[in-house]
Amino acid sequence: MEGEVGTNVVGEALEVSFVLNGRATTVRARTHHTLVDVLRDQEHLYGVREGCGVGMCGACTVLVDGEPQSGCLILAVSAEGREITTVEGLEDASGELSDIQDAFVRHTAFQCSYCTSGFLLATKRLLEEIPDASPHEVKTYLAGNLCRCGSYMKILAAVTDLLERRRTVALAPTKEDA
Amino acid sequence: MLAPRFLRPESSDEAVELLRSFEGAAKVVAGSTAMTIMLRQGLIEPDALIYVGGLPGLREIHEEDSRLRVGALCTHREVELSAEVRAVLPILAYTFGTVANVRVRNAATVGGVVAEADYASDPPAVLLGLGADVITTSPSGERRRPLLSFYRSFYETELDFDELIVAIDVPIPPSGTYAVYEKYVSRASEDRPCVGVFASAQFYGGLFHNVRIAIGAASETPQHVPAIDRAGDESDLRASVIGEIAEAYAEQTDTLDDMRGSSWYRKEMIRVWVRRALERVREDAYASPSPSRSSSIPDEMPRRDQ
Amino acid sequence: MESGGREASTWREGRSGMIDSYERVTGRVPFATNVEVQGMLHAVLLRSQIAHGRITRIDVSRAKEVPGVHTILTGADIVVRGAFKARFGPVFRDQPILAIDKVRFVGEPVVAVAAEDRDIAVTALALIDVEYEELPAVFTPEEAMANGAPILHEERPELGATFADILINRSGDPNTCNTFKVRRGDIESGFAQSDHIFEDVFTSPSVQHVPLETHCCIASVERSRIVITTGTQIPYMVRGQIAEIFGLPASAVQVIAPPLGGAYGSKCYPSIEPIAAALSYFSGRPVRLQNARDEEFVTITKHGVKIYMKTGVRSDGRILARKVLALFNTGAYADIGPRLIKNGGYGTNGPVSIPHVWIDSHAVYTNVTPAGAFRGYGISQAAWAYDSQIDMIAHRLEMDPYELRMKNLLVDGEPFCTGELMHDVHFRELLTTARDRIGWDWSAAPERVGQKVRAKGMSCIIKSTVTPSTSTASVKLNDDGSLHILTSSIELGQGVHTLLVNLASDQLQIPVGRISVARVDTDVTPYDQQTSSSRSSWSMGHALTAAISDVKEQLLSRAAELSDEEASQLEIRNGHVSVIGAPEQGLSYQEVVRRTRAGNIVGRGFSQTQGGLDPESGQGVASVHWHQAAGAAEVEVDLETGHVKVVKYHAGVYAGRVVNQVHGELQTEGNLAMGLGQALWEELLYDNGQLQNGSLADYMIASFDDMPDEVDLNILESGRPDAELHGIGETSLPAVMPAIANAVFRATGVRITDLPLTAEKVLRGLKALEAEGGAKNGDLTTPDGASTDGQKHVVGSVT
Repeated sequence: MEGEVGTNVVGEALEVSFVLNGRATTVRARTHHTLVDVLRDQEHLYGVREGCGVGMCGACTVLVDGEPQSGCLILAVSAEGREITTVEGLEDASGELSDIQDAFVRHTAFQCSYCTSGFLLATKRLLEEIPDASPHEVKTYLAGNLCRCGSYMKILAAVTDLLERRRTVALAPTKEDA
Repeated sequence: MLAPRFLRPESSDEAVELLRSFEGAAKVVAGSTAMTIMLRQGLIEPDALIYVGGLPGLREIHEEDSRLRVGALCTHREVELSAEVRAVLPILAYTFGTVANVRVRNAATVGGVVAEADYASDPPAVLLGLGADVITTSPSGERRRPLLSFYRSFYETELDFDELIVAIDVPIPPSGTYAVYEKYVSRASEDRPCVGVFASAQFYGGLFHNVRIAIGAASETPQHVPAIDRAGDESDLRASVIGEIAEAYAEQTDTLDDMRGSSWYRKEMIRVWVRRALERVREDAYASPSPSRSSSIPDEMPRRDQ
Repeated sequence: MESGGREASTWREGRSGMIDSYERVTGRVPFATNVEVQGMLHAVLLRSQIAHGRITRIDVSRAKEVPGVHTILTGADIVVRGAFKARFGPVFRDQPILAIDKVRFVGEPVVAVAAEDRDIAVTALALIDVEYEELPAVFTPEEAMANGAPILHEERPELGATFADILINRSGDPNTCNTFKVRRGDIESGFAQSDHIFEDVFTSPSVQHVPLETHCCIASVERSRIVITTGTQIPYMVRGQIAEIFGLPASAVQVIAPPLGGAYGSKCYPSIEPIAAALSYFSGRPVRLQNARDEEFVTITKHGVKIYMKTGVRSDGRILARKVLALFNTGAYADIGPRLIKNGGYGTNGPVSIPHVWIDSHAVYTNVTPAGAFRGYGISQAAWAYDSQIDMIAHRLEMDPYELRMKNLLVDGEPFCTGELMHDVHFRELLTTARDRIGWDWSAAPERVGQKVRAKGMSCIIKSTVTPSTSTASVKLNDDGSLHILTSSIELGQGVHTLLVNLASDQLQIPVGRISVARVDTDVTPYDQQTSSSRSSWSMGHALTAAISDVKEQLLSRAAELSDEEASQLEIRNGHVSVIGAPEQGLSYQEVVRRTRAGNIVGRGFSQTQGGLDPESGQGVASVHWHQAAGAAEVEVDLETGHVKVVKYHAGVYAGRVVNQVHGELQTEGNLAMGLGQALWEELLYDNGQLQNGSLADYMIASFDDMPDEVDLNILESGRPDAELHGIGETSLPAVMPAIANAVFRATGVRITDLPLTAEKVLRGLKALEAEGGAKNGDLTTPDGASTDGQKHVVGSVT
């Protein structure tokens, strides 16, 4: 039983270490605490948001070892050794927005934006997995992220734009070619 | 107590010993997608969680002797995207790819979905239709059971409290087999199925053989009735034969009522979707009479380039 | 000097979709759920598990023993200690902070626990025992209005200070908390003149708003000072209610209102705020309370409604008379139901001209979750009835439903059922564009491919905006020429703060980057009546414009101090104050403020509309202007499953003048997403008052894959530069449900009058048609729906 750091009326709390947005991090979590709980309460990362608590809405999307998962369904104690990325990890070190965030801004792909972090993170992996995704594939991949304000058409426009821009960059002649 | 103990065994053997020591008061957890919800909603109050997520040897997929063995810790997404599964059992990859959303599929495991016995899950019916076995281990040793006799009722299986699922073992259908899974969702796209129908048949000599149907999400446990399926064997799956099979499943399934459809509606949907599934099998067989390996590849197989 | 066009572009540079886009894509929007206050306790609620009952015993003794538990509070504690008022509500003070003696719905807060952390509070909550003596319960208005029905509120609830437009009529039975009437023309002679009379019944179920951010508040109560941070659409309402509860002057209560993670009407009136405040009062510590998702479902809902509609029509299709009985299920506590039934009442007239109108609209108490404001505000339910019915009438008269609507649509100068004359009306343009864009052809048969059939349908709706109403705003022009806007309009994703910044930028010709919107805080930002009713662009827009005019006047007179010219010889141009005709010698705002040592220039703006209705006849002014929309849907129905897919949707809405095109599109598309769910599957399912689907695993909301393949928008402008701004936050929503249902009817002949159009309901309708054996297309009803067709076929009755 490694890592036990105290028990109270609620139950025991364990130390859990993982890499959070590139930084080694240790938190204390009780067994039933989720990643959302510890990232908000202990790491103050408010871009991770609970919406439904049952893995349906995607407001709590985090990348675990690069793959989108529902932060509300991951027991924090099981995150030992994982690499976790939240929306706060999308900007580069100088605070420049990533191209994904920039596309969402340009298309105003949000309203209340409670769901936006989840969409951004899911989009990050979508672009890696299916660089030539069709609109249908974009919709299907992102269908598990819900936006009650219904900003879907603008999100589709933002992701379509991103796919095109990345393709253009990939096809652009490099210096060696020139 | 809100927060049960959290134990991390280092091997399957240690895990099942722990399970035995808690005498039923411990729960196994891996992907934790279902367990977290049950725990937080107070539906279960275990004394301990036995975390098996990192255990070695339970995450392999391999083919041997015309059987595909899928480790219990493989995630849904791993099955969905596995080149091996897609090659020999594309219908299995397709089915796991229809479950919930990408996030849940990245976490939920094969062992978890089989053990949870949630009536509204997609994979159990398809595994049942394919004739899969469940392989478990316990302090008393390894055991193999056909899925057909594994499910008892809502969230209830034959699994003993000190038993851990280590793999599912699926026979690879003989060549010339066509399989489909029809997931019918009655409300929003992200809903779970109202009914799910698996159908497969082998096609040679102008006739269909080894017809297999399984119905999920419509009753407490997935349904597969070999006696009904036999009506399709050695037939050309003409409309009347298909109709007979569909009717028999609709009649015999003890359908349930929930917000996705009444018991009456589910019977109607079984009738429609068994028919549609078998029609697709027939059409696929006529369209390409000799599939490369075992079954037709569904139209909408998700992709992954990296 | 630059030309006017070039001038215009300079201050407009750098405008993006939303002023706080950066925060929105980096997870930094400061939602109420993020707020942490030093020393705060965490609260959880024990909620009633029965629909109606007398509380006979509450035992908190074991819970009190849990280490870390700070305060445990019951309704009786509040009453016994008598330190403050125990009940609240925006109209009637009928809702106890925590249940007193009785519980009236499943989910009603009974005991509140505040502890050092949430886990401890949850642990303690499980140790509390409550015993009830169950009472008979009623779940629908009909049950509640029946003879011998249990009475929910034995004592007449206290009526408190409320909004100016609210009319109270308590002449109904004991469970009817308010009735609204329209009496126009002579209804009996209207029916006598009619060649056809149609009586139909329409129902809309209760649904939930599902804002992804649930209600959350942090309350800190000291002896003479209360600070509440809460996710609310109406901070001044929260302030008023909290001040009243605690007997404090309004100035002692500070409500801080952060941006909202969705609201759609759910966060208008206090719900959990009084509980958090009561816990803070007794514990002496700040208290944080947030709804879990399942609690959100039992906090506030959209009214379930049953509407009996009798319409008399001349043989040429002209509507002559309409009589309506509307029964709004307002749940266990009135919330804003007494006002909503007014809008939902006159709303049943629809966008058509009818000489003889008689409407009775009731808010009825029942033992379910309180119902309140919901995007569309009673109009969704009304439009579902009248627009379905006009489609049915067209079919019965064998007329083109487009032509029948066109024949009856209101035009400028015609009276609405409230007697007010319509102005700036564009229904015909909207409907005609909808017809053209969807490709409507009445004579075309539905298109059938295999087991799927496609057809089209349309709708046209009218919505009011709250009248009379009041907004105020201030602006502060700083000594560097930058501007602060002080407004209590809430940013809930609709982009109101961006809109106000853009308006200010245009009017003062200051770049948006030099304009800030202050955090909404009742200690600082001036009064706004409400952020709802699609009124902010109009009402707060006017208040802001007035505030800026005030600043401009002050700028001119200040600048006159610095020059030889009279103020009347000066003008504001290109962000400068200059002599009329000599723009090149202007003074910057910064120079004016600094050189006059003004410190800053504060402008104040006020906007008020006049109106109101006569309580007996419903005559008067219901709305300062009218919101207008049309919808057109193309659906594909699977004839074997009854499943409906909307393949194309056209939304038309009148905006007067578009201030922000992208936001107009976002709101209109959002209305479509929400309307799709309500058309096809959304409903709260109760079994004996127990909610069956209070989770997002069971209550579905529309996803990407539910959106139509094609979405077409027509955000119509008047073309006049001085056109009124018409809010469009809700306008296109009520059109969605009838447009889809009308298309499903065209496709299948199945007319469903009870929302939603579930696949099962459509299939049952198809089977019933089949059983009738070749019944004429469309002459059938759904077995579990209300009866529909057949002239003078009486089902329920409004007579």
